[in-house]
Amino acid sequence: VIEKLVENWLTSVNELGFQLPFCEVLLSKGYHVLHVSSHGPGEHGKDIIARDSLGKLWAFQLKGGDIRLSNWREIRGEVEELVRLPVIYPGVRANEHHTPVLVTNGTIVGDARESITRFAQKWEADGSMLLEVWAGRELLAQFLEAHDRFLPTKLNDVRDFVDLYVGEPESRLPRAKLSRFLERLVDTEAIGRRPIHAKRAIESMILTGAYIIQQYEGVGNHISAAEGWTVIAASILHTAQREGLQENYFLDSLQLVWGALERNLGNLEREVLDREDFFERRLMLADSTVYGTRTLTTFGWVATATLLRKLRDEPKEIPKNSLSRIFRREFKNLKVATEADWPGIMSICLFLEQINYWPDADRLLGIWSEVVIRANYGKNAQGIPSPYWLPERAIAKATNLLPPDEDEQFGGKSFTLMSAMDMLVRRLCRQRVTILWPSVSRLYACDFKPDHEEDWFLWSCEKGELKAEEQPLEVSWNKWRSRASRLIKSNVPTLLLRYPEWLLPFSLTFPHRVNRSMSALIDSVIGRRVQVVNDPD
Amino acid sequence: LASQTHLHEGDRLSFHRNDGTIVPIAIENHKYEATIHLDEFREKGLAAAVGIAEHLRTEMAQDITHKMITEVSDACEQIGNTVGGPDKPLSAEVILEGLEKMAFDFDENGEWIRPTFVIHPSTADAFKAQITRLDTNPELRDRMAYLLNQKRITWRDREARRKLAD
Repeated sequence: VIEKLVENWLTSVNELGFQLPFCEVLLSKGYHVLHVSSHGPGEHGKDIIARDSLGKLWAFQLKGGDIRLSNWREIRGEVEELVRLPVIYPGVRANEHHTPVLVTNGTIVGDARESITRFAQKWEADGSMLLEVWAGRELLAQFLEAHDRFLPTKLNDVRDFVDLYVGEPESRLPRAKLSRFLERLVDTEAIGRRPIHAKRAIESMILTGAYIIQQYEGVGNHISAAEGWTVIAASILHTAQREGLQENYFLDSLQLVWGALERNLGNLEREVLDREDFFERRLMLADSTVYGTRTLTTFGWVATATLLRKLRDEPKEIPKNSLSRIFRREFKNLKVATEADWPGIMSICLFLEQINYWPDADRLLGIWSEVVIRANYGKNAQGIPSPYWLPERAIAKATNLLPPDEDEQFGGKSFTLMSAMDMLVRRLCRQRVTILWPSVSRLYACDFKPDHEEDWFLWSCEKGELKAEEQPLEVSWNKWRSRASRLIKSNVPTLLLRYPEWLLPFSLTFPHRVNRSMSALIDSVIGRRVQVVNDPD
Repeated sequence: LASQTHLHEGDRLSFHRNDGTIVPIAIENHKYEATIHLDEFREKGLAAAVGIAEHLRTEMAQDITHKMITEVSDACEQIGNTVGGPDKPLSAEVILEGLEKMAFDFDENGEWIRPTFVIHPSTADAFKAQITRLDTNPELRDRMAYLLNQKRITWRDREARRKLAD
């Protein structure tokens, strides 16, 4: 079943869709991937540049579908560049020979095979290396080999894989299900405590995840795809932390996944900038119910894309004016459905600060606090769904589509209010905090922390404590300021300190992990307002 | 009746009070059993399964209620926050005494948010009669009004202390 599914995926995907999985195949064969194309100018037909385990240089060009003679005539110029022009990349000698490979997920049809062979021989006679062709079944065999023994084999896992693969790619990605499924592919039972097995399991897990996420990419569901890649990254970080892996066992894979995330965020940004609104016409009347949440989720991710570029010092200009225009257009439509929306609100606030819209950022933090307070106000207050309730479930509850036995009471407590108040305190919004505190102090502040560091990256963990803290009637502004400006290192996962670029995507994808300390970490890494310290004193 | 906190993950829950006390909530396993006989299933079909589900539901509800009342009673006993007893039958005076020991909450308009009383069905009628006495007996009504006023003052004082200091 799984082999058929992999074959189905491989033959239906386009060249962009199998670029990252193919890189994972190379990693599993001991290659070190030097460069993955962004499909811009100056790459001379080289989609992927890699070195094998013997240090030999390889360059790959990827094509989707069958190659007939007519296709070959169209692409021959590009392939000739792949073969004849040298690899220009830092660390590669100018005269170093490379083995060129034309990779296609289809087959070479009819006369194309002979023509390719003849040209390859001619280019070799002129001094280049002989062009290799990896196609069709050979490529499938390489993919299956890359999975080694880490493909899902248990009946439940196979069923989940098929469910996720044939899911509804136009809808939201079932994050919890994907996370739990991938977690089982890299669990201790599968790996057996050997780093090299962990590496292979990670590579196989990424391939398996890629088959699923590609379905979402295929229909332009950029946010779900971004969430999917982040779930994969979380599974890598979980395995790395649990097994105490050195970077050489997982970093290449993590970087490839980062590339896939970036590609989806870029696509999302372009779509947002191009659109006049966020309506989905195919949903018609029902769209009004989800429009506010979609707007908030979309803005959260777009803001994150911008903040990540800034964090990584990437040169691309922030399209400040266009984004701020869209933000002003849609601000009135933002709708909070659950506390799972908090990371999105944080991202938007930090983005507004980056473009110097300070008052709007403070206002948004105030609005979030008021929304939570108002939901808990009065005798029959229902509260607001906790971060464990993703927007789709909260909307189902609000529209009476949730079975009664799945309902939950949320009144009298909040998981995010104190994080928002901390941000206001750090921004010296004393007047606002003074007004809000009497209401805030009536609510219990909930905070969950996993016992084991690797469990931060799981969707749900077995060991950990939920603390519900009653607030004091009177609180000291100065002490609060001092406390909120520091974060104790042991309260957040070390790997997110080491790879801070994953912090925001992880928070948006796993909103229930954004407790008070994680919020402070975001305000440290992005907002630069919190100092990370080793101990409380 | 009481605030509910759902533990979605982890194995522990604790309440941290203002006064520094920490109330750990242990996770307990409770087991319920029911038997369905094949003959009964053949005879009644799905209705037999519904009966079993109803039986289990009732057992769980009783168990949870009993557990909650026991815990609340124990906590009240520990801090001496109890009224009545075998030598003190239920009366409006005992209810007033109980109310005096409680912290009252008021809504934004200063209206009293009445507490929920949990009573055994066998004493429900007697309880209602005593509550009616509280409303109709002039002396008791005055005592209740006075109590309410005192509690409102205490509440206002408490609420006024919710503030941001230097």
